[in-house]
Amino acid sequence: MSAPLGIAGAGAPPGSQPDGPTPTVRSRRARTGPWPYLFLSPYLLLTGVFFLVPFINAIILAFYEINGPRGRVFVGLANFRFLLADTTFHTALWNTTLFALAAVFIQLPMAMGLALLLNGGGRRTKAILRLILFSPNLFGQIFVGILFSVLFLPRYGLVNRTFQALFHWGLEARWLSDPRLVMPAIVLCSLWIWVGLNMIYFLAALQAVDKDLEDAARIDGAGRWQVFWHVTLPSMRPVVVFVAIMSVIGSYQLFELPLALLADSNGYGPSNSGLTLITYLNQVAFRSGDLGLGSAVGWVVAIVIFTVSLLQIRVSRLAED
Amino acid sequence: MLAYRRDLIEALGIDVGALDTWDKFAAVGRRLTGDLDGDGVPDRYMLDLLASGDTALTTLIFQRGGELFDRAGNVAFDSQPVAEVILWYLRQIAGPQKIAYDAGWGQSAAKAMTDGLVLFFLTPDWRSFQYQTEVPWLRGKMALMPLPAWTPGGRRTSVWGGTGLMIMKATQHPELAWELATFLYFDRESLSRRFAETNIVPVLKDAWKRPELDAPNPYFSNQPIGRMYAQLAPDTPPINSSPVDAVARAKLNQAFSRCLEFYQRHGETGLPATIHAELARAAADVRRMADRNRALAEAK
Amino acid sequence: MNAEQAFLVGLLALFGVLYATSAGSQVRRRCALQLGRTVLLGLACAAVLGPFVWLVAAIFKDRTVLNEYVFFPPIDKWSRATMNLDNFRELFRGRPGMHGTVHFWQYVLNSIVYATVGTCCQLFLSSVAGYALAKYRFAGKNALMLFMLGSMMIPQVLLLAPLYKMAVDLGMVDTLWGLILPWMISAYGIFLFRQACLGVPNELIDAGRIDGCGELGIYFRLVMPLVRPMAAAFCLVSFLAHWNAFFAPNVFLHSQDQLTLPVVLQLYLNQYRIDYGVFLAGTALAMLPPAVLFLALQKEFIGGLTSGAVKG
Repeated sequence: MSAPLGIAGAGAPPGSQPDGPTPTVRSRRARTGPWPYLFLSPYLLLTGVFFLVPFINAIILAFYEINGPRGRVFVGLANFRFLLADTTFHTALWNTTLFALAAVFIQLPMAMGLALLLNGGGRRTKAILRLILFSPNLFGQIFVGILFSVLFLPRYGLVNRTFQALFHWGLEARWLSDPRLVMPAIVLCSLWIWVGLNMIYFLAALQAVDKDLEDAARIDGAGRWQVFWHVTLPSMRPVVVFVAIMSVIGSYQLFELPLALLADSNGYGPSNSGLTLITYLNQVAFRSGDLGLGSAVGWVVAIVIFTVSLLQIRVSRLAED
Repeated sequence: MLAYRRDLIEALGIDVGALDTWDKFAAVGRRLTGDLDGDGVPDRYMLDLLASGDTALTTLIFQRGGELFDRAGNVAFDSQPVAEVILWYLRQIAGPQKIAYDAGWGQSAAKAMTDGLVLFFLTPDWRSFQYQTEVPWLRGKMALMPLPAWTPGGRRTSVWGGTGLMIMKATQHPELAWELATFLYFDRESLSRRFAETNIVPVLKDAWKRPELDAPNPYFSNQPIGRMYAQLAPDTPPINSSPVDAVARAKLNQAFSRCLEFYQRHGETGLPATIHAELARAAADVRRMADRNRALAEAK
Repeated sequence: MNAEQAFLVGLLALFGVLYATSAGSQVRRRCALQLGRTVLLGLACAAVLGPFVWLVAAIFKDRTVLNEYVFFPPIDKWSRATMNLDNFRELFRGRPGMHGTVHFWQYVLNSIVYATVGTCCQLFLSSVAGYALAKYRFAGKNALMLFMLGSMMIPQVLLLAPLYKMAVDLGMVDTLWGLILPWMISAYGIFLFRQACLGVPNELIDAGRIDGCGELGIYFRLVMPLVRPMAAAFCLVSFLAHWNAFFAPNVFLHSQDQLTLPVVLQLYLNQYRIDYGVFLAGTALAMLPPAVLFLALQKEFIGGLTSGAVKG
């Protein structure tokens, strides 16, 4: 999963380019004085009111226990201690991590594969196929979740019938009520939505690769696969890292898709097999009414995302050498 | 009650009056469930039960006398009756002689009903109206019967869902809200009209005497379903709730799922012990959640 | 072995034979690879288009036969009973609201207003802020960027409750503006525009200053035209996010006549009446505006989105 599907969008890594004009004339700097602040003032104002205030509210709330609009009790770190011991939270963390791993190791290679396949084609076929493979993105997560909840029906669902026709298995597979099949079902859904989007990123990156380098490698006797692995892929590094990081950040915030897909089991899946960190937050904060615990969960999610992103950047820098 | 395909059942020569306990029901079910056209996939099942337990499981638990919470609001589902229901349920959906299939909701259940894939469906009054709108072509072919009892002469009804009305403290017109509430619950005239339009039996016991409840329902083979439901109503098991009700149901389902996995892997050996262990674990989790809840603590 | 399996196995065999015997012949090898490529792409397209075809078939099928046939009924079974426009009729019948029936076009209008106004606001504010971050040096810039980055890692759901309370206190709940205002800033958008503005040559801006263009003029007349691809890309992304947003509108909007499309469509799948046909018909219709927008902005979208990523 990648790209902004939340309301204010998912991440983009900070650019590595130098920025800003280098003022050789001091008066130039003085002239541009208040302007950056002016340009940024709507952002600062809106952020201050609609982000900082609720955010600080959430920070404070994490140390309280809430029972209804008038019942607030200060409990210190009790919420966090509860989370550390709560098996449901562990399940949510595990499921979400599994999904993020699937996003990086299944979705991205598929997107890369499709981009490679598409790259060799003519311009018109490329445009048409790009359109087709991107179109699932036009739906919202909720629509897709509900659509696929019908497609995954045992015996009558499209997915079941297709699998039965191709592999002689799966007609009665209970994608949404068998705990072992729920996560694969969610992954299948996410593949349908987001492989096309990531493919577009990779396709553009492929086209930006220096053809001369590739040709030189081929002349040196490298096989197709070696050319790809040692010349093409390294040239695409910035895009791959960007897409990978966005996918992971997005995966950890997966919310509306499982909620809609698993509507029959309240959005969590049988035995919490489809519970993600954010649906867990939703359950705790909005369905059980304890915004304090919910804020604590939000905190932990933010820290997890931050840590994982940091790790990813480190790993990608290591791989550079 | 159970809704069933009267035409198919009569054609098979079954007398539903004789199905007055779940044991008898399951015995007949074993005879009827099976593969009819030789393709290896069963084409007829006796009973519709959710594969994840959920509301079907709780309905049967409540009928048995099991509870999620006791009168004082304490967690109470780690009990013998609940374990027995789970054992029975597991056998029917996953055992070697299973009789149940998960027909799902909406159009999928409608298809199962139409094809005769499943013969009997758990049907509270509100669901009976759903059939009338979603499967109208089965008009006259469906009928209702009370639930088979767990023990001879036992309770033949249960609870699935429920509705309440809440007036918020912040409301600007509490008197008007109260007036509406009293009207909705007590006005017999509109209660019977609402019954005619939704099949939902009024909660007001006095209103059960209304003649509208005796009206024959052409969808259900002209049975006076209002009267049938009203006659079972006094037997309805009382349900105790709690602020951690949602957590309790979720944990019960989790325990059930784990028992199902165990059953599929190891069969009956060690199953009762596993069920008790899983129920105890789930109950402990809910108690921990309830202990956190200050509102509950204050109420005590 | 059924028809589908036979077909695929046949293709696989053909590919195998061609490839194995292509030792000496370049042409044959290219044929084999082309076949392989076509098959794989064909499978991918089938997998992607399958649900679409199912969707189109489902909205015209009668409720009773929704699960009977995988896609369309066989031609000889087409009749008023199996294929009809009942789903659309039900969709356009409208829903009861406080002041009379609310019709489908009202929801479409709400969605259009919400998405358009929201996108325009986000576009303007993000581009201005991105430009400032790209082309100016000022105190606290790095700290601000770090803050923006961090803000993207906070789950939105968390902030929903305080924002809802704020909206209620300000009397903005149950209005489209109350829904647009809290999310008018998009950190993702700001970074996108910063990336795009970094590519604008400084000489151009300096020239503009020498010519006496005000700072605002530089932004509107010199910089914006150059970052049009990125703007188009962001427009589409933002429009999609607003158009398909469910959770926040679901919480903030209450009155029937204020609802947006995602919120109202899922109301057709409730406890008492699960009407997949109507929901799917609404979904299909709801997909049209984003599709049109995408077709119009296709080239710029792809160019703009990827230039940000490709350059780093």
